[in-house]
Amino acid sequence: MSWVGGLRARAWLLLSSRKAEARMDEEFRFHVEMEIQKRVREGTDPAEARRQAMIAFGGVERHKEMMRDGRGGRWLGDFLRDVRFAIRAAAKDRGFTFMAALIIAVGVGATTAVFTLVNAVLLRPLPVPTPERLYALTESRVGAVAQSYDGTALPYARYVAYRDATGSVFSGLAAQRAVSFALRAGGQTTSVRGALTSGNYFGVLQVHPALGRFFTDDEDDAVVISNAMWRDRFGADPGVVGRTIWLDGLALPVVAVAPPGFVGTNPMQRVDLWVPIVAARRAQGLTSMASWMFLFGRLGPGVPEARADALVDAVAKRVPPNEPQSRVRGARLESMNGLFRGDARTMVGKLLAMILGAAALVLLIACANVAGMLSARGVSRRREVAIRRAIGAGRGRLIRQLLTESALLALIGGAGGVLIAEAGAGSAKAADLFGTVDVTPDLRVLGFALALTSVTAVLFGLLPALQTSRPDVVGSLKDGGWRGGTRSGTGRSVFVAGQLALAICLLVLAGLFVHSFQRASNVALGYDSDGVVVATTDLGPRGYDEARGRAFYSALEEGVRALPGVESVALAQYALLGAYSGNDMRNTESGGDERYESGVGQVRVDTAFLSTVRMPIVAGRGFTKDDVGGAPLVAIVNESLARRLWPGQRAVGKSVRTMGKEMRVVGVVRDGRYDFRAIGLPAGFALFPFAQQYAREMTLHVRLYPHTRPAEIVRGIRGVVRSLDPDVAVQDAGPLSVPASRLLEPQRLLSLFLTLFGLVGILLSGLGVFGTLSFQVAQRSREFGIRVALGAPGHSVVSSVVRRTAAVGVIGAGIGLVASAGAAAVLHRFLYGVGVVDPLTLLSATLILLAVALIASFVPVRRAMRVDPVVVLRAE
Amino acid sequence: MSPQTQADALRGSIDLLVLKTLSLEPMHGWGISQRIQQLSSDVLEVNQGSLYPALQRLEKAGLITSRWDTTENNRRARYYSLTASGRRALGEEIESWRRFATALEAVLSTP
Repeated sequence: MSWVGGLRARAWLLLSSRKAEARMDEEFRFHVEMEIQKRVREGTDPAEARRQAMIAFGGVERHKEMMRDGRGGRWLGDFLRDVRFAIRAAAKDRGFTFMAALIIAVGVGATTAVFTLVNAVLLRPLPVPTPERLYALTESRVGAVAQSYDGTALPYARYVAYRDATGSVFSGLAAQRAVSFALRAGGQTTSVRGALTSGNYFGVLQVHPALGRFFTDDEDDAVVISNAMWRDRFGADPGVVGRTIWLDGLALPVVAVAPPGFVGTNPMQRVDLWVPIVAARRAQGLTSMASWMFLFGRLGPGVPEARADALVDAVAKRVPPNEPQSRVRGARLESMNGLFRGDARTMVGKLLAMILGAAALVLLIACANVAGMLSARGVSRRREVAIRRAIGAGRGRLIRQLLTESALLALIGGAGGVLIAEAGAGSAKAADLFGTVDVTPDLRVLGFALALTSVTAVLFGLLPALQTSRPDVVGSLKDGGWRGGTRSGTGRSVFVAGQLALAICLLVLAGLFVHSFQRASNVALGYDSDGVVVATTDLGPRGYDEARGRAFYSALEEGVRALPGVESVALAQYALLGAYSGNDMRNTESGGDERYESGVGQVRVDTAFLSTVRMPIVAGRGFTKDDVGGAPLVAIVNESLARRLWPGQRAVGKSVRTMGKEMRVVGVVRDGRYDFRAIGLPAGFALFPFAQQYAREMTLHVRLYPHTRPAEIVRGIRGVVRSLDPDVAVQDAGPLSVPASRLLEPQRLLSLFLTLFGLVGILLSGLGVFGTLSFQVAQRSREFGIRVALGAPGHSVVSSVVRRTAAVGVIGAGIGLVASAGAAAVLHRFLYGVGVVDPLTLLSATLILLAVALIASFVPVRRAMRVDPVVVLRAE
Repeated sequence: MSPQTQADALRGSIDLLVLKTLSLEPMHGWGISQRIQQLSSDVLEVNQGSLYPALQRLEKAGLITSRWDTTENNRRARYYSLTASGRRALGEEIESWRRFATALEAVLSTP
């Protein structure tokens, strides 16, 4: 009601103000006429009487203005008038409007595009009721080294401890873990992504099934399927509830179909099946996979986040962890919005904050640019402004009008910016820049763009408005708007210096990151990923013991080796570049300095692995067929791990300890990249012989001869696996080079954005220099003309222009260089192999900026040199 | 007294003068200004720039009302008249003005 009522009141006000205007006119006219009549009666000549009466009455418009002010609520009428005026002004000066709106569009577009990404990656809530009450639980752990890390995956026993102790703050604490299931249907065994969940999973999320009913706490014999799977695999058959499906050789009845669009708690890892964890624990084999759980809870009604946070922290400290080598320091709650949790969220957040910061710099440059343009135009509008003031417009009124014009510009630019952002998101999607991240702009993005636009309007509009509306009526009217005045000149110089400073900042940062990216890319993969196909099989669900498992894998290798086009075959516990968690490792030298390395990637491989993926050995030897069960345990480490555990010493021959075992290092391999999300230094990495340490889940690494089609080999592998055991599913099969191309993704993304923004920034500031200089020359052309006419040589005229520009440039560049050094110092941990002060980068950024400034000033300076005194002075 | 200072002195008391004038009979704007000039023997000359805003202000405060009417020459004009609360306000205003004038006089007549 209030909104509609308010609208009606305002409409009435507008109508009544029209009535009031009419009344005012009539009253004033009456007054003047009576005054004339009076004077005529007194014997004055009618024409003279009218003149006297008008003088006596005074400025009609001024009186009206005072009364309009007195009437109150006039802002709406004023505002509409201002908008109308602004539209007229914008339409009149189309070139200016287009240029300014385009510059704003670039700034707003860049920032909005990045925000679209931030929104998709960090902010978008889960599509469930009241998602803001959901929190993920993250433990903070201290490894054996004094390094802390976040643990989002917790053992099941710890989940139970948390669940039982937090009933007072959570309406429910649920646990889930994404796993791959082998789904057997219609004679085909395929791998599907599923989740093992606690019984209260759906209850905590408050999701309701599209069909059937979700399982509850006491149920262990049930499976829920996703809506997509229901449609694709079961033809949207309404009778699917009650049907039995085979998962990992276990028969489970379908009890429900999830609602459309629900893909689990992580949009990045969409899930098609939900199985109660109790079922998995009962079924042999799934137990160990189920042991690491991801926890999330829904706050009870009225419970503040801080209280729940404090409680989980207290519980974390009380319940002893079951890994001896790490210590739980505490726990905290974390938003469930976006795609990442724990350390990854922090890392990605920082990365995106940096990109957003760079975009904001572009926007600032754009604002400074448009502010400079407006301030220059303000000078040519001094006459108009002076006239307005002379007939009674107050300064506040003028500022409001000028700001309305800015707001209109910002709005046009902002709309353009949204289009640019959308186009950017579209092309990013087309280029598969962000993989499965859904970067479609939503309402939040639009709101952001709108807020940004309003801020922008004030940012670029306020200073010029203050400047233009400065009261100097007489001076402006007298000199015919010729002189710019030194103060507004200074203002424009500040805008130019600011742009240059921001641009050089962007350039330096872009340079640093591109440089660092190149260095990081040069830390080559450390192996040859081209022409390698991977495929993973897990024997756990089928309940194989070690002997049967080893037999399976050697038969598998033999079968695949026989496929046409296969050069060599190897087994490793994980696919290279797949994400895997690491363990602590320490050296075992007694009496010496004890050293630890946490988060070391550990992979069990067979003897053919190093040669198959072409990972070079830099010291010692690879695994041989003598490294078997009875022989002494051995390990191979990479260069980084060797350096960190035994600095300055030979690693080969030393012993390492991990997971309660001691091994002798027999070889060192070249550093490489093992996880495509890694940032910065190469991680520690260790290899153990499969023959000594069995794992039931292994990944085939198959090197193909050139011109062999990976798809054929994948088909061949599936065939071999099916012939060995039809209930074993082949997971994640495909070429290894695909994830390898996504290696260094964060750095690549960062360099890409920074380079793009750096270029846009330099372009904008070049435009700023050009515009300001052109304007100066145009304004001073009369002065130049006089000086030339009086005999001043052309170059003295030019040097007076150039001197000032150069001074502004030097100041701007200086500030920018200092600021960029500060920014680089903050961001140093994202840099790899590049110092904070990189002389090459600084030098090239300065040179680029100088070149752009020179090019931008070329045309105006030439114009200044060609000033023809006759033309200029005659124009007066 | 220069016209400028006269106008300043008037500004504070314009409300009072308007109310007083309207207490005699309803009147249009021009008539009010003529009446004040006439009653003050041409000493006080009301500027339209302060008269009309004052009328607007007083009307908004509910001390006077206005309506369209015709003059004796059959011309349409806006006539202002005092309301009951305007009449009360006038009494108070006169009272406070007298107090003020007496006080001022006392100060000025000190030898």
